[in-house]
Amino acid sequence: MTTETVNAPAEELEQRKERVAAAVARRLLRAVLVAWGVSLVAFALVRIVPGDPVAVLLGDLASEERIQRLREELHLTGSFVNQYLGYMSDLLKLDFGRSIMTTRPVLTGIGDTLPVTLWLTGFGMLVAVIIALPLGVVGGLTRSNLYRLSFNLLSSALIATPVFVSGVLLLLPFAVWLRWVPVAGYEYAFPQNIKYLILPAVVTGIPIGMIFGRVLQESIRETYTEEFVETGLVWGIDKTAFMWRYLVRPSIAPVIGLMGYIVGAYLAAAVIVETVFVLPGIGTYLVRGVLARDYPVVQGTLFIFGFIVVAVHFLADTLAAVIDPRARVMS
Amino acid sequence: MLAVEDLSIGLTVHKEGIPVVDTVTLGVEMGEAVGLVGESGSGKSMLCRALVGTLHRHSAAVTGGSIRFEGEELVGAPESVWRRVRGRKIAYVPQSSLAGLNPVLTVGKQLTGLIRSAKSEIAKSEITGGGSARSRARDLLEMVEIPRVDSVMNERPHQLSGGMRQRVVIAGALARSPSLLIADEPTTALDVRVQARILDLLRRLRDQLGMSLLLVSHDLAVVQEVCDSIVVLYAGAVMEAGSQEAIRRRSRHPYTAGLVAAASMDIAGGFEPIPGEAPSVGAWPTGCRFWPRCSLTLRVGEGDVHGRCSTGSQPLPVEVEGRLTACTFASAMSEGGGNRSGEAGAPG
Repeated sequence: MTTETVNAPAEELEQRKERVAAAVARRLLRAVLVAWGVSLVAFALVRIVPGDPVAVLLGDLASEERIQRLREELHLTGSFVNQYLGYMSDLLKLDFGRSIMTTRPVLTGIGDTLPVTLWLTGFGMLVAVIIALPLGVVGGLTRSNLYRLSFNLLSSALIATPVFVSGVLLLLPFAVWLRWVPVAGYEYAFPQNIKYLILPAVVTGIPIGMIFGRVLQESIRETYTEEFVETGLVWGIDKTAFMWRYLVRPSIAPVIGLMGYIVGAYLAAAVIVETVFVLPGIGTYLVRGVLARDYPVVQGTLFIFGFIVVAVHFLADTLAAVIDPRARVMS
Repeated sequence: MLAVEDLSIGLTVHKEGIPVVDTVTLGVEMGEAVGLVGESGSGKSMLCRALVGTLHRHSAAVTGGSIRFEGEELVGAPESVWRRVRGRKIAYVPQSSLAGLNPVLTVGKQLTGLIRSAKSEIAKSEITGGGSARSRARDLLEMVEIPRVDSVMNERPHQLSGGMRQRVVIAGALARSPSLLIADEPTTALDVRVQARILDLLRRLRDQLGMSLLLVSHDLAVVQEVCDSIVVLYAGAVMEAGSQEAIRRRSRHPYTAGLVAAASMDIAGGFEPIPGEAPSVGAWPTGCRFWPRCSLTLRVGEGDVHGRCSTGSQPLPVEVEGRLTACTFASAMSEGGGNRSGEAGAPG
């Protein structure tokens, strides 16, 4: 038998391990930095925005003395830097503070509202994938220019439509005229909540599905030019298996990688969608916090947003690398 | 068995269809090993792709001539015919097969997928020999001399070395017992030690399985080692074709003679490369495509007042001394002569 090496040389394996370890370490460091950066920006932004939580809370007629007392109670005195240091030391203890408006702990508020948004995100992503798979696969495999042109036009139009426009446009026929789904509201139990989530999930899922579909389509077309596709073709693999295993499967990693980014964008969209459909999600929680200049609520929510974005991004990249070794070259 | 006649291939990127292969004729008999030699850009890979019907993937198409395999015309054949031919009759190991394996599937899954997809076409027992797809895959890997078969089955291509990947691609090509195996530069991306083993493997498989082999390489030495007969391609046209023996002993084309000299450089010591560079596609010279680099032309050129080398179109190969040569001045090359060492006779 030959002495030819079966695997890449041991040295190379060792180097690869080191590279992966370094990449993971870089990722973790980046996650911490992003979360910290977001908390800093959140802290600064709510204070830069004109308006005063105490004034909002007590109204115009409150006495100067009362205002001063509440200010001290809420730790809103002292310099900007002092306030920030106080906030950071609480944060390190995982203490997000209490809402100025309701005096409930911010963490409880997030705990109540985040699941609604996660349901919406999961549902919306599901809709997006259901739309993207057939459109992208057909677009990637077809040689019909008409299909490609119409898909590109349609997707451009749908991606460009703001969620608050498409939301209202869908509410009218399905909720008002046909009464298939409620106009607004929410129920905190699994199968019942679906009817409240369907429209918002479709409204957000469609443009995201179009983006996924286009990325998948491009990815499949790129895969088609790869050498191993020629191998699969000349090996004589049967048509269905060839399309699925040699064209679609190797093209999925970029879409999964993209999902990491999209989830971040989805949280931003949730703010609008939840307002349109009056869902008690974290977006609504954030909007109320901003309107009331409820500093701890805004800071806490944005910190959680930052954390989720970084975490999901990391998960998506890891998943993509597990599915496709070519995606393993991590930045 | 395989008969390629006057085959021309053009790139379809431009409407004019720039030719890459021009009126090529070659044949492969049952059990024969034929070597196709040419520099990069000579059209040898395009020729291979025409034989397995994948030209469209490379923005090219057959523009003339015919390809017959066991009597069946393949030029213009529908995809359904190609699906029956590929892998079963003509198998192809593409160039740069280091990237030739599906990166997202394990070796075992790629091979069993291939074996299972064959099931619908031929009787199950014929492909698997009565065993499972997995055991047939294992047999194939053993046939191409892969050690530690069981662990390789569960690995993905990026975990394997270049030589192993090449072996797996060959194993897949053999899965349906093809009668002709085309190997396009099977050793180019590998280091010298592994190259020799792959060549040994190809030679052994051909004997063992009784199949024909079309071995494509830029390296005449590689081809000479394995093949019975040789076709030399230059700028899309056949320069010389004949038995390995005849071409090695007495080349009747200055280009081939240059290649022979290069291939035997170890023995002869200090070899001179053919001057100049091969013309790129779309920039072929008029007349014989080799004339701007041909020492014979330069030598006889002084007397070549009729301009027989540099005008007109590429001459088609004609039989001279038991082989085909496209050189008009073939008889001007002396016994055992290269284009440098030989004496020039009176041209024409």
